[in-house]
Amino acid sequence: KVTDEKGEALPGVSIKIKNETVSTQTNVNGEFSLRVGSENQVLVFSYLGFTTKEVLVGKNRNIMVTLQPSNASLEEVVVVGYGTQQKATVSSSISSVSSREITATPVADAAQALQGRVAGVTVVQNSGAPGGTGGTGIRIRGISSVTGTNNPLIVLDGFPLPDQGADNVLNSFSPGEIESIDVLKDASAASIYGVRGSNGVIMITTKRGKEGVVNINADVYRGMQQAWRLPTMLNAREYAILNNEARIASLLNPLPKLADPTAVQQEYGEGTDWLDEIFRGAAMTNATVNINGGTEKAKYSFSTGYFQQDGIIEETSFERFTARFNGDLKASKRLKIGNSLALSRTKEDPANTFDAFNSVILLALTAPPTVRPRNPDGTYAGGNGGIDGFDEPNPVYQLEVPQFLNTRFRLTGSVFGEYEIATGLSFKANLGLDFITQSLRGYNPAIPSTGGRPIIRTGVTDQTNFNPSYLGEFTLNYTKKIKDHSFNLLAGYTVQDNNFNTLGAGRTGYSVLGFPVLNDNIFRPVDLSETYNFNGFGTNRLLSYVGRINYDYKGKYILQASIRQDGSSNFGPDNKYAIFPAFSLAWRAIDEDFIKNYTWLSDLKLRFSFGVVGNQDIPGFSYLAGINSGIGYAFGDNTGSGGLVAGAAPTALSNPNIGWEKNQQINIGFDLGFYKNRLTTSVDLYQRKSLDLLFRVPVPTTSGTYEPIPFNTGDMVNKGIDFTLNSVNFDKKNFKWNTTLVLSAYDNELTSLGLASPINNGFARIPGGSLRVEQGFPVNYFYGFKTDGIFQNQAEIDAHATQTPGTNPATSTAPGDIRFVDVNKDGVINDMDRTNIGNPNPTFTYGFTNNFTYKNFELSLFIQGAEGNKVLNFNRWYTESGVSNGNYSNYFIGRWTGEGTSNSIPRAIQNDPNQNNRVSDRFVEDASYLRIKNLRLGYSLPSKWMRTAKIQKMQIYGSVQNLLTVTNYTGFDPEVGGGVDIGYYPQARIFLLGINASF
Amino acid sequence: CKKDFLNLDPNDRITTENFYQTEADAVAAINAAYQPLAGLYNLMWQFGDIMSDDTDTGGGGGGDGASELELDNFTVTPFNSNLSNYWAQCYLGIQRANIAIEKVPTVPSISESVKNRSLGEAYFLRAVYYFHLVRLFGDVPLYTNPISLEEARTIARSPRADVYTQIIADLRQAEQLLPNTYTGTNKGRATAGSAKGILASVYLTLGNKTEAAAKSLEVINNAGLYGYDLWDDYGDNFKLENENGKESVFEVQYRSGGGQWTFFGGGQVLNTFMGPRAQNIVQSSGYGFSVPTLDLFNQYERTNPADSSTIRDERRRPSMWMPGDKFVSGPINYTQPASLVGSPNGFNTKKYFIPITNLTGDNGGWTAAKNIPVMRYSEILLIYAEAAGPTLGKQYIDRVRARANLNPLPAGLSDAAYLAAIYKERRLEFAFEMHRWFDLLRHPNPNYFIDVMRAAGKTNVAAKHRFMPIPQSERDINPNLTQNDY
Repeated sequence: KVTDEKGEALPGVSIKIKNETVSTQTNVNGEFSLRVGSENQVLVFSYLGFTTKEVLVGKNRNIMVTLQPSNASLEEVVVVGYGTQQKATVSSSISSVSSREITATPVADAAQALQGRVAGVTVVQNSGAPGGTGGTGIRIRGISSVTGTNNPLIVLDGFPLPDQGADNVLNSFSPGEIESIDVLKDASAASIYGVRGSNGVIMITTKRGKEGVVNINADVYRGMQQAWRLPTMLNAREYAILNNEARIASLLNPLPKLADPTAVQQEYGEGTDWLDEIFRGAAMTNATVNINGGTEKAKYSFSTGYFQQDGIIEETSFERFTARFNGDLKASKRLKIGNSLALSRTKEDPANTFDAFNSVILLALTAPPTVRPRNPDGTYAGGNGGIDGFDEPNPVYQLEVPQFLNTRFRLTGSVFGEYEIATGLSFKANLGLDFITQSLRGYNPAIPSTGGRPIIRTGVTDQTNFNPSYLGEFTLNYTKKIKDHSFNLLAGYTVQDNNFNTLGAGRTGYSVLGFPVLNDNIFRPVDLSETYNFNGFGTNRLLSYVGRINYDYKGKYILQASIRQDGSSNFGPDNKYAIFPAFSLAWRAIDEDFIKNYTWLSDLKLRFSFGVVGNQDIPGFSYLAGINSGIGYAFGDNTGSGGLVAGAAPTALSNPNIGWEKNQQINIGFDLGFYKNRLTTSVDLYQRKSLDLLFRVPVPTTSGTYEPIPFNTGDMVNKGIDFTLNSVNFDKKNFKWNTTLVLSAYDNELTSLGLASPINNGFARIPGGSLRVEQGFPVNYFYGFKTDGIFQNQAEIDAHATQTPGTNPATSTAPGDIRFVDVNKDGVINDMDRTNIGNPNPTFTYGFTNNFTYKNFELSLFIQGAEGNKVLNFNRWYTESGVSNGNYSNYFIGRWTGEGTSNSIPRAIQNDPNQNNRVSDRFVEDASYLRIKNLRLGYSLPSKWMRTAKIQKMQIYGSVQNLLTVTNYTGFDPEVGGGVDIGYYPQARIFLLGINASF
Repeated sequence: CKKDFLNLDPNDRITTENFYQTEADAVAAINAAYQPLAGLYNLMWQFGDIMSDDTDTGGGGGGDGASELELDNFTVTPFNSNLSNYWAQCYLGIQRANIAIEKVPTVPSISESVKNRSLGEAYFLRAVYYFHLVRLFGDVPLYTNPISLEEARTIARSPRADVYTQIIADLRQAEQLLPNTYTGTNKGRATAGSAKGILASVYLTLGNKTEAAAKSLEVINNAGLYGYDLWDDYGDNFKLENENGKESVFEVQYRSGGGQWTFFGGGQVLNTFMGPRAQNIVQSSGYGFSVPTLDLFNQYERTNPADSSTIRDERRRPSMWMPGDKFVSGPINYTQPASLVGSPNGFNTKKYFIPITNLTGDNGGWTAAKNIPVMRYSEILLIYAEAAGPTLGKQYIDRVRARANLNPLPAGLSDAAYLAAIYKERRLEFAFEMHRWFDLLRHPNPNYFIDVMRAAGKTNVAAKHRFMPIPQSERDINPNLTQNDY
């Protein structure tokens, strides 16, 4: 019988007779039997996470073996580019996340599970849309690029997935099928991926079969989600009062409908609660089954999963089926072959929650409470320009009528073979592919409505994307140990071919409803404007050589050096190849004799690394001068929407020398362990220098072209620190408590723009932008006006720089308006007075995990947060200005109504002559937050019950996600991707119950 | 093999190497030179009308129309996006015209007529774009060959006089090369009449009355050749079905957008931007920009000066909305209200109005099909009337007045009174056709625009506003571009 150090049976322990092929495994009760030839034979007991033990058979027939948990840091293996490495001899900066942490939070996208788990990795969930479809921003140690991608390269079982342009969506894969995630943070670890490595690399390893009895694990949970932190808007009466006041201030007559607030209250009561109309409680369900097992020769792992999540906004949902089969076969003594194969189908029913004009959230914030979503007869209603002064789309109509369905099929797989040519020398070939087929369908039926801008022409759009990617990878690996010198050499050749194809069409003007097809026999367009067709395709190819050497002396002095040459089709003929070198050094000081005396010290390793990585993310062929043949002009007897007569001219000049962005990174780190590693800590200091940043350098339009040309110009620096602390606070038989704290901090500064000019990015609804890229500042800092309270009287206006001149309060600056700071002191407030009004980057982010085990109970508390980050809360642009007679937030009740009434909320005036609502520090809020991201309580049913039911282990658990958020931020959610909050899909609070069983 | 693997050819685009081979390529090249007109005239109202005493910004207030407000209030800075867009559209056209002038003669298989026409169009368009630049900015970079990036980064401004010399030379070439009329899908291209008409306007702008009179009379005398005449009903000028009609000397061509949301596509944005705000009689509900001033409204001659309902000038109704104006079509039963957001007097520009119910002319997004006139035949008449003076010219202004249901001008007006009458006539005849600001500038009295705008309540206006600041985005890149006082 095999037990652990506390006497608990260990099932699945592999037992081998030393120097022979005979082997077996322990059963559920930790028991085994094995026929041995002689008493002198030695049994080898091995089990993942435990120190391998050898036992002489001797005379004893009942061998009782106790395995000791292995010294984690020595035995742990991390996944690196083109191989694995023992954690002990890692000299670069790599962090790992286990499957347990990945599945601890109920997320659709494993990328979200990284949040707060890895020092140096900042994860921002862009949206609470179901299925993680809004994307998750993963940034490893700040950003490396201003115009190109900042997404880390994601390598799934050795297959580098093509970048998706937008923030990562890994939701094609079930988090349940992942065994571990390793994050290659510094350049020496990532540089083996060369021209794609500048944002770090995330290595995802899926579950593979293990030798032993068949293990079936099933996990099912079901949850309820709700919106929380919704803002309070004015009720019907309050809205009428404020709207009248704002109109009168603009010399407009009150809308007759609202003129008498008491009558409004009688008719509408509290009025329509539009947020309540679009938000709902929603269910989510997840079920996964993993089956794995195998013999020494053949191992398999099969996973399948189903995930379904309704969104907390009506009419949004996500559904996913996944299946994965990973197999390993030892075909002969020297040949191993294997495969990974993942299939998935995801189906997304989205809603517009991302644009500054028609996001349903913004529409629901602004829609007046005196407008109803439906008429008494059930037909759609909405605002009417004439009656309500408001005819923005009715959000309920917007959710229910236009229909979108995005379906995605993905097949990702590879086959590999590894042949041992000689002892220590092996050759591996890996062939992989990734097929993404996506169908995007839209149907806009012209369903009538008595208000709110209904769709007037029925339209159908259909688009199919097919993105196949192929990989060939051939590596030679040589391992040799000569006395105290260990070598590992890797040489490889890889090619990858990424393609995209898109084909789509749309028609508008269907005369009947209910036929969302493009067939000519349903609808034959008569006018060019009723139809559009498009087709696009492209290819990006990489051809690369890689080489790496690992050397250590006695496991104490460790050296790694690597080099990669990448050839990329993205660059011009003279500039196709780049070389990316890196090296790292480590000293395991703990193994030195003079340190061994300090018994309280259990680990001490110093690390240093340097490397160069690159970023190839520019559109293909930008080294060529193209003719833009889309320059049409409407000649002829064209009184309608007839086609444009074709015109063609160059609209961009070319830069034949365009190349990759370089990123140089220095990392200094140390790992420390105390008291037999009860307390361990890891600290890394780094500096990342981005050189030759790709900027689209604006051309003078005097050149007759307008497209900015990509140039390698500009530099950026990120400096930061990653800190991890693990502590086992209690380790008793019945009570265990361990704690993990990770902390990440970095500073980002654009040190040079080179030839480029400052770039204003940001908010589409107000010209001029709200984010700025400028030398000497963090990238995309908030750019706008500084405010200095409110003008209380005319004398204060007269004494201040001119804002909107004039004497009529309806058309010029008047008491109650915001006083903007005359930054350039020229006596006029204009665009020149815009300045730095905040940094969207947090001072630091953190994750704090506590796991408690008491007898059969397990409690985990995961707290996560960010400190010092600012958010430009642009919801307030909508909710404090009555856009088009729209509603106000109840915060606006405290507006200025006379001298001394407010020094922060301006007067109500509809046409806003003073431009109180321009981008200013008034809307920049401290969005620091601390969030109880997840609280999970599990109870394992006593094993004696389970044994009779032939169940190895069964746990019942409940968890709450987003239980509590402590923040001063006034918007929906302080976690905002990109720093500007325009009413993105807020995250839900989720309560769920689940059951996990192993058979 | 390795080399081929990475050297991909773009198979979904045309490059400079494989173009300019056929007659169709040549025509496409010249069509591209027309295209910036669409964007330029989608912007033109912000300069021609809003800066003038004819309209105010309007819109939704607040940050809405901030860059228009800068123009309206004479607080414009070099960062104003309308300025840089105006500049860019002009130079896009100039460079494309230059490319056409260089490439068209080299195209192997091109008919003589298409070659001449294309070259004539290129000269015409280049002149039109420079004319727009020189009036707004004064001295501007002048080049007549395709410019390289390096040259564009260093080119300096040329004196205004040189630019005008080039404009006149180009138009003189164009009037020789261009045909008199077009049919079918070529309608809307520049004709010899267009070139002569614009040339007359250039002369008038320069104060060269002799040449202006001669050139405009040449057009009047050959009106039959070019097919020019006045519509009996002034309003017929602004009907979709009359585009490129008999009164059109040159107009910017648009089609409706099909969901297009851009100033720089094939559609015209004025319908949405000027439609009465949030009244839903045009697509995208109407934004109510470029709101007519009370002063302009008061210029329309009334039977009873105290009663605005007795306006007898028939140009008012097709030109602008006033309270009480009705529009009925299909489900729409609309009455212009007494006031609207951004329009305290309940006025809105109407010349470009295509109702939302006209699914052909205004079918989605921001953009409508209605062309924008650059020059109408009535302007040729008024140019001659102004340049020739009262003795010879009065009958031509009277012809324009008669069409508007107004009596002839009294005889024996002083030169000053006659000029004032011409100015008033032009203001009403071309209201919202983006001429007004440039008319104010070209007045013989250099302070005229200042006096008029001061009287209109724009107290910020000063002599320096004759020329707008050079866009900072250009100066950031090209250190040789000097700045105007602003």
